[in-house]
Amino acid sequence: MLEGVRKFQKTRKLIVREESEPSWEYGHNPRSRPVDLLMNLATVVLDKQKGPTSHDVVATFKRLIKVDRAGHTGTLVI
Amino acid sequence: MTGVLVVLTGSATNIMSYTHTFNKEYVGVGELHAKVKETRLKSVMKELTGEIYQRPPVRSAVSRRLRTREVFYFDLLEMKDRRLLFKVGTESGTYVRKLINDLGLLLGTGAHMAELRRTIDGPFVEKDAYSLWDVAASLELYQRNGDDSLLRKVFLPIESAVATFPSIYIKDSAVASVCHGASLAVGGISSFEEPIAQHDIVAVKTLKGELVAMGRANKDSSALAADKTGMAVVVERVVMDRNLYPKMWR
Repeated sequence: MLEGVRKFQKTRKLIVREESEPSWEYGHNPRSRPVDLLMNLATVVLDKQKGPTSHDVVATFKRLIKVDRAGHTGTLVI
Repeated sequence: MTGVLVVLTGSATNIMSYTHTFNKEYVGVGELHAKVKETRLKSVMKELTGEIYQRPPVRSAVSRRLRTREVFYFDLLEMKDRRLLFKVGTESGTYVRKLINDLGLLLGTGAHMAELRRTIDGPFVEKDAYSLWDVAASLELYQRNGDDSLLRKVFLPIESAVATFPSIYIKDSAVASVCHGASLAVGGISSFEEPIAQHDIVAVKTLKGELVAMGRANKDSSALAADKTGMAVVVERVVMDRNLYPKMWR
């Protein structure tokens, strides 16, 4: 489990309503998703350095990875 | 300011409105404008925890109305002369610079923030964070050698960003219709994580754990477990490509 989840949250219990088996003919395990799909459906945790704004960092990031859309989830204001 | 900055790519940006609400943790340096005793400082920091009132600063992106925010903890790590090293866990939307100003007001000395670093943003901690150089290196390694080991550490699946929300795992037969924006019926559920209250934000996932959509629960956990019919989740944002799973409705 991600460390941040543990910090702010209680554990949850899984309730099974109806057992069902997944088909492997379509879809992927999120951990082994093909790279091209992953890059367009990813979370990147950046370590922002001093100087450039959050906006600058995301702009550079976008140029770097060449995906259409990218956005940060909360400005690190100066 | 430095530290954890969470970025979403491609269709992951659809769920940005949910990740904005993450709780945060910061470590920072504050400077008091006069010396105070450590015991007094600690007791005032204690007063500034729990529910606090804040007016957003002049330079901010939101309306400057007085609002309340929760401070989960506000700890003194170290103190030297007029400088204090602190750690604070807050609800999203808390202005830490303002909190330090208020600390100065309550102490009667005045204070300002000298340094600030975000150490936690929702599910992500500092050690999950990579620099832009790492991002560039991970792409280089993959493109040159087909080595995706670093890339998979830097680019985390979208599912990790919604780890703080309860999951509802649905049958494969229900996936395509949710991808098309239809509400989820209780019959489409295989399992779910409790507790869920009515109107809670939930992550709708496949049996393999892939995020299909984010939505709001229309029932609480006990009804989700027991009800024979009815709408379980109102879908708000679809993330999955609608062509990934076959259409199984008639």
